[in-house]
Order: sequence, then C-alpha cells, then structure tokens
Amino acid sequence: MISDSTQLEINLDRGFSPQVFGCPHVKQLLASSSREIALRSYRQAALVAVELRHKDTDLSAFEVRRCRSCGEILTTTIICLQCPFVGCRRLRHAESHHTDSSHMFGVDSRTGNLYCFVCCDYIFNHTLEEIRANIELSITMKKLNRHDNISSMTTREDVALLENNARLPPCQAQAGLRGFQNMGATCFMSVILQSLIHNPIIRNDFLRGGHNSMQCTRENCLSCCIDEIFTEFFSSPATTGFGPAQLLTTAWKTQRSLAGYSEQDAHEFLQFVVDQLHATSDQLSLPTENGECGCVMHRAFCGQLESDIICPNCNNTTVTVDPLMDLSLELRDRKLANASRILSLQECLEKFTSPEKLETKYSCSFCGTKQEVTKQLKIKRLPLVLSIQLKRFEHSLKSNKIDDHVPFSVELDMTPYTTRERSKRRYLYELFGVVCHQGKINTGHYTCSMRNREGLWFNFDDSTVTLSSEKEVLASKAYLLFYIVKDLA
Amino acid sequence: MADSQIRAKVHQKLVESGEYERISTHLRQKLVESGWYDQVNQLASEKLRFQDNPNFDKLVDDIEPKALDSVPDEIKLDVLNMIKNFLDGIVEK
Repeated sequence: MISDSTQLEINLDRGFSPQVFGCPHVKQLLASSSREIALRSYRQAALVAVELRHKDTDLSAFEVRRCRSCGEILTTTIICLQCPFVGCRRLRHAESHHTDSSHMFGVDSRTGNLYCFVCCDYIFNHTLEEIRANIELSITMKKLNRHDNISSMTTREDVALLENNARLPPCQAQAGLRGFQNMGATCFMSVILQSLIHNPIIRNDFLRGGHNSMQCTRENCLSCCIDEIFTEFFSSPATTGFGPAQLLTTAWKTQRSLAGYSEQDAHEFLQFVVDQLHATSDQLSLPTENGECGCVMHRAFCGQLESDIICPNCNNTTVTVDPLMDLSLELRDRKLANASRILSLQECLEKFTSPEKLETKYSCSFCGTKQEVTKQLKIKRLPLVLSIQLKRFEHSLKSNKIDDHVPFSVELDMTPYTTRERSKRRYLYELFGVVCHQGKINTGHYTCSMRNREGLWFNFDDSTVTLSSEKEVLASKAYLLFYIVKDLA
Repeated sequence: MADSQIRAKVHQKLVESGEYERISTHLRQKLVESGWYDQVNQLASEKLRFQDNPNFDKLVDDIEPKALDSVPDEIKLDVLNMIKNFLDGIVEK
C-alpha cells in the first residue's frame, strides 16, 4: 500500500517513473528529412566522445574536442551537431555559437549525450541512446579483445510465439513493490525477504526461471517458496501485504527454532535463507570452472577472506583463505583513546582489516619459537553483493544493544580493505538495502529500506510501503547493510 | 612565451604525462570518501524535485556555487599540492 504522504506524483498508467524524457526539438529533427544526416553526425560525435574516455593520455583525443573559441582542452565542451564547431560550456562559447548560428543541437564531448540549446538541457532519446550504447559496447569489447558476434538467435517466429502466448504484467506489479503481512513477530523475515526481492542479482535469477518450481520434486523446498513470492510480487496487481504462509511453514519444518511466535535475529535468518537457497538450488550439482558452487547465492554473496598470521621473530607469514558470505563488524575499537566511541562504517572496516596482536602466544611452525603473533584480515576476493552486519547486540555480562547511529554512505570504496589496497583500480559498491531494528534486544521491530531500479528509496514496515529518500535512509540506525558492485547497481 | 602559450603547453604536458588522469582519479576518490559526492547528489535530487520545468543548466546554476564551496579545504590543498609538484617538475625556474 502506498501511503498518501508521498510527494512524488505517480502516474498509475506508467508505474513509478514519470516518463519525462525527449524534447519536441529532437523529435522534430528525427521526423524531418534531415533525419539520416542528423543520425550520422550524432554517431560521429558520440564516437569521438566515447573514444576520448578510453584514451585519457592521448593528446590528440583532447585536441579534437578543444573549444574553438578559447582553445581550452581541459574543460567540458559541446560538439555542434550541424557544423564543425566545438564550444566550451564554462565560458558559454557553445551557447554563443548557438545564438550566432541558430544551430540547435550539440553532443557532449565526454559523455556523448545530446544537448538541446533551446531547452538548455541534455536530452534522452531512444534512437540516439541506442547508437551511443552500441558505440560504448563495441569500444569496450575491443578493449577486452572480444570478438563475439552479438547476433540474436531469436527468429521472427519466436517473437510471435512469445507475444501471442504471454501477457505483460500489470503496472502495479512491475516494480515488485509490496509489503508482507506480519504473521506473528515475523518482521525479521519480512525485512530479509525484501532484501532478496530488491537484490538485482537474486531478483534477475528468480525472474528468469532460475528455479524451476513446476518441476521441483523436493519436499520443503525453500527455493520454491521464494520463487512463489517473486511470481506473486511481479505479476499480481494486489497491493495489500502478502502473507508468506508457505515460506513460514517450510522454514519451520526445516529449522525448528524458527517455529513459534518469538522475535528472531534478522541476520541469523539471512544466513539461514542463504544456506537453504543454496541447498535447494537447481545448480547445486553443477560447480563452476574453479570448482566453486554456481548457485545464485554463492554467485551473489561469496567472496574470499585472507587471514595472515605474522611471526614477529622470523617474519614468516602463514596465509589462510576462507570463503566469505557476509561481514560482521564490531562497532568499537578498544585500542583507541576513546574506546567507547561508536565508529563509522568505514572505520569499522578499517578496524576489521587492521593488524591485531593476538594475546595468546603461538608456536611458529617456521622458527619454532613461541610468539605473540600478529593477525591481519584482508578481503582476497570481493563478492558481487556485500552483506554487512553491524554488531549492535552485545551478549557479554548483560545483553545490551548499541542504539547509536553508525554513519555510512551510499557509495563505498572497498579497495583499502582488500589484498589489492594499492591498486589503481577502485572497487566501488553502491548501497541498495538497509535493515533497521527498533527497540530493545528481545522485543523489537524490524523495518527496512530498499532502493529500486530507478534509484528511488522505499521504506517497508510489514505491509506498509512508503516512499522514502536517500537522506532519510542515511540518517537511519542501520543494523544490516547491503551493497552491490557499482557497475551492476 | 606568452601566458596563453605557456598555459597550453602545461595542459599538453599534463595530459601526455598521465598526470591529468592521475589527479582527476585522485580527486574523484577523495570527493567520494569525504561524502561530498553524496551530499551534492542529494542536493541535486532535492532541487530537481521542487523545480518547475527543471533543466540541466538551471540545476547547475542553482547548485554549482554551493557545491564548489563545500569541497573540504584539505582536498583543495591536497590537489593544489599535486599540481604544484607537477609544475615544479616541468617548469625551469
């Protein structure tokens, strides 16, 4: 149910993205007799732009997009679509050219996007975007030395067969936005399910039939239950909360401790679901080329953690590599001057990967002496989806919950926490999900915020779904964080 | 050599040596780490929501001054230093 407090106007005929793109001037141009010339010019200009991005130390690439009025090469310039002129934005030379010549369109010399001088805006147009995207693709393929023939194998008959025997899902279902009914302290389940529904890798896998429920003969199959949820959420026009009865029953039958109406830990449930979806996966018996499991859970969440033990006496390093399915981070650093200060996410990751002197002495297998060794953890291979638990629940002498705000950001650079910390290439992640816990340790309530394909954030509180904002999400007291590799976001 | 000629030559050297690319990447990284990128992104999204007939130019005019101003001083100094070091390396005293 979408609450009335949303400020964004939602056009029910078109789902959530108000489809405001294109401009009348570009439309007119492409409908006129100059269409072919325009497309050719655009293709040429876009090629210059995309190539420039891949030749960042090649002076000639910069010279091509030099402003013809002031000669600047290190500034944003617009390539005129109708003549050889190139003008910069900063000193308004591009604008002056438009005024002088009445030429209406230009192409950004770095992004390849079309600019309309009448609308004073970059314009999105499907035809032009297809041209630009193909150029990007061919240049990337060339870079990777791939010569795949990207020809589609589907025939006209195939397309006709699909069109005649399938029906588009109703618009309300296209976003997959729906809440879950709370069936008795089950909010810890709802939030984890939402994190799977809005996880691009998991979602894509289930929606393209990653688990064949029709032919699955397994009893108590969790994959079938999750598949049912995806089918419901992405094809039913209902907007009321969904009661995941089949999932609950299956979960209870698989793990007795989940039965009953007590609140459980969402992180534990996440680990349970990941484990069970792996165990009931169709790909379980098909390992990938390096012998690892090819199921969607492993493909999404599995990375590798390297643990180095260094002997201070002989400097020998013992390296162990273990699979990594999620990161659990301590929120305080006892070694700091202010030991009780709550760290930010980046500080937690820093602490997690910083060398630590172990208090118990170990016998070094290399030099034979007993030493206080140093241990250091580093991520050897990053997963596509990073699931992070902030350890807010302390179970020491007295069970305590750390309720402070832990600062985190939408973009996360994981490079410093890997074994390639000095690499030029950055390993960037983008936030797509946050799970929050309100209340005390045993009697609390879970809610979550997830980001959809268009970058809009939504809050999920059992069956209530409301539009949120990035600002609101960043201010929330996160317990679990979900990040995905930036290129896939 | 005229000032404009010197400037052009410096830009040339910046690009060819790969230093332009290095400094750009470094700057971008710092801007993201410090949260500046997120802040400006937020600001832009908010401005767009409440603008009538929004367009790129209007948005830039609206937020560019604030965005430039809010770049942390340490980042400005850091990048200026990188540029200075580069210049020291190529300009004869």
